[in-house]
Amino acid sequence: MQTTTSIDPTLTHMDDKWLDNPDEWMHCTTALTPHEASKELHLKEFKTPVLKTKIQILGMYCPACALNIEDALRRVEGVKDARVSLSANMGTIYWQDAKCKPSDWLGPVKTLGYQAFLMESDGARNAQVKENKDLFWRLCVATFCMMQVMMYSVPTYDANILDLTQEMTQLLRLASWILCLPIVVFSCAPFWRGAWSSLTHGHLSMDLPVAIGMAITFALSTAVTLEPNGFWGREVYFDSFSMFVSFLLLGRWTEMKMRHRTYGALNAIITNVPEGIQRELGPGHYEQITARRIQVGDIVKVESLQTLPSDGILLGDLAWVEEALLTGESSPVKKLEGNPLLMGSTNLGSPFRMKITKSANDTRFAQIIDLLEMAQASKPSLVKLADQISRPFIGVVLLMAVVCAALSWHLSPANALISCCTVLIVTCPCALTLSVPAAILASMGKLAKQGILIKDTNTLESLSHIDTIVFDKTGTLTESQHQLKKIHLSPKTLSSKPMFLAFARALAKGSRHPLSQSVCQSDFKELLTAEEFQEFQFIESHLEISDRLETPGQGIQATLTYQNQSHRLRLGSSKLMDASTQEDYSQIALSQVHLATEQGWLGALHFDETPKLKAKELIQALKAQHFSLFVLSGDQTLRVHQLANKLDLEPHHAHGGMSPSDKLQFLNALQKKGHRVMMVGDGFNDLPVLSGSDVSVVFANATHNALSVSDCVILSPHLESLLDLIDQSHKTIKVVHQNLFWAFAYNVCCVPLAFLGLLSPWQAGLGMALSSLLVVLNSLKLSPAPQTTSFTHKTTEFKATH
Amino acid sequence: MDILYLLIPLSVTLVLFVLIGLWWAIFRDQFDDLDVEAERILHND
Repeated sequence: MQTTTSIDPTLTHMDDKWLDNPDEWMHCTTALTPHEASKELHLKEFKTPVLKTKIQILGMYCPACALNIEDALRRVEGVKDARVSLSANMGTIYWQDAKCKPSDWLGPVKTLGYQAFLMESDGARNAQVKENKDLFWRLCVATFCMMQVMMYSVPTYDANILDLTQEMTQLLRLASWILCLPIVVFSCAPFWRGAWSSLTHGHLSMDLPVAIGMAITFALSTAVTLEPNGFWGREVYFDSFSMFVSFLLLGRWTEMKMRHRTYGALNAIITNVPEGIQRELGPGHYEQITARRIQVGDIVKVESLQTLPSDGILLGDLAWVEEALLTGESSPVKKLEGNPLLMGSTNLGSPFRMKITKSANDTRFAQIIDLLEMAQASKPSLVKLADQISRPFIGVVLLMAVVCAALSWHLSPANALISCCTVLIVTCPCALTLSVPAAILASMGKLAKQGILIKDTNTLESLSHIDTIVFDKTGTLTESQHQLKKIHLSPKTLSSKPMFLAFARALAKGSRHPLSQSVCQSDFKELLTAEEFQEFQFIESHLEISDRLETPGQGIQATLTYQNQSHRLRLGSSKLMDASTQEDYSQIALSQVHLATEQGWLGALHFDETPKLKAKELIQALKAQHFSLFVLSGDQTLRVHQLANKLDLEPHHAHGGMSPSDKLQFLNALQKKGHRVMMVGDGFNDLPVLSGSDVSVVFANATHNALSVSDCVILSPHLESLLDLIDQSHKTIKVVHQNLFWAFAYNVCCVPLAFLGLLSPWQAGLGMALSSLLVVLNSLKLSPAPQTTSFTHKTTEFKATH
Repeated sequence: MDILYLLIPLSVTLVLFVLIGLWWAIFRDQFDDLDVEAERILHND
């Protein structure tokens, strides 16, 4: 089963006991009376009340995930029932307060490898559900009525076959009219509304010609039904009308579904990852609460690497924070007592206290989240193109319809109106306006299912223009877990192996850099004897660490106190060390991290790394597609060249010893030469590079900040996902071009026919609906739904004939 | 063919009943999560 690697391993193992406080879960819980509960759960009457709590679950990919979570939840004593919804990333838990606590049922979900939170707010989700149901219900009404109207209409197509009398025909028409009423009043309401706002705001929208066409068709048919063989002629068009409406609604509903599916997964990750925070109750006394409960005036303690819960001012002497999300500047910012701190920035130094001065909704961070949401709703430039073309087009269509009606009015008013409607309906540019969003949304939906999230809709377009790919090495092409192979102690210092490792581990703890994590997770079996290991454990438990400062891309500094002796220590790449304190170990072809005091170099830790599974295949596949590939790394050049050799990359395309700003310069140089560059990284020390590239892709172990600056996030650890992504982007652009071509060709062919009166309204309705449907179905071949294969096949055949 | 005078109004009413049933189903959340429900029957308890 596929699960996300959690963003911070310490979070998942965090004790959830503090969530048992009713203040934490009350907002997402409703109390059901025993009667309500038994009704909702279809179980026998309960004696005690049942609580119904909503939680958010991240990391589910398939229905089986949802069912496994349900099972795990039901096994918890005190949980009466659980429902998990895959599409909503949400779970509903029915439980009894007396028998269990939230921590009891959040634990099992986390043990399965998913991330679970108490629901923060489901306002957006509720709005989606409502929109979905509303449109689906309108579609159902239109479709069912349409089917029955067709039943009544078919016998009247050729009155001779059934030998229908005038009265019978009239009866069938009346029945059709009655069934068209719900369509006019209810199903068409969105179109009436759209047309009305288009009129009152003075801009031309697609709804206007559609609504006029609908209104005329229905009014004319009603007039004919009431007065057969009168002024308005003999023909009714209820069949065309109902079919037209249902196909149009089907198109809109499909589009909406795809939009919700994609954005749902995305929003959950970007905006709703709540963390606990320590609130000060009195001197030295803290309680853990969710960020939601923090109020202006509270004093909170921000742990190392924690994200600030709201705006405030610093109470300690000194703090180092990263404000990349807010300012784009990724180097740490120094803050002194009383300085303002911003929500959404990260504490890179040691824990500090801050006083909250703003509620979370008024902060700059909240504005950025709003912007992010707006960016998601933003239309890609291709969509804008389609809109720009279709807007004057609508004007022309309306004009043509009027001219068409005026020209033949003197012959027969009824025919004049109908050919006017035909023009309106047949030229409806909905195929044109659907062509781009349908394809892009289908693609985003498919990628989201594979664990590839795309932040904005332009990305797929830019992806298809990429000709150069730049990889970060560590954690991207190689396993992020390096093996600690050797340590090399300086002969000048007298520190023992256990002490050296204990110091290194103390500094590395809490850092998200892959090498630090490997130091923390290593059991040192190859390096230490059993006795030495005991000594190591003893030293480790007696160490005190303070003033910890992490400089991304370079290393960590901290003051360690052991046996009343304080040392200012540095752990990191050779750049963090003074040249004088360091011996030349660059000949050793292993990744190395140095440890030094202010007095001198203590030694180095050597790591070995293995290329990720299928890294070579990926490089070969990309080469076959004629991408130029580069590897940039902060590691030594020799080390990077070794990897390049293993992966069949040209050595002059692999560069080592690069700082984040070197990488950015390199990238800009490529871009100046006219290359479109994709940057693939792990998002830790390459934030500026990621934001400087044309398209940035980040793999699963991404930090929060990387999620906010990169265009794509790949949650699966498999490198092949990158190929899928590139492949999908090319497919998407191809489908977009097919769609645009088809929509134009259709309009160019049909407008003259309708103008000359060679098309009847039902043919026009069918043509329009089919052209939109074709565009949607053609786009669906990008989406993963298996039930559409047969349609896709037909569409492809159709395309082939063009 | 007089039976049509009964059958056609009857069919109109029938459609209206179908719509009422559908309304009930949609707004009782029957169509909310089609993926999971489809798989539930294959899932061992």
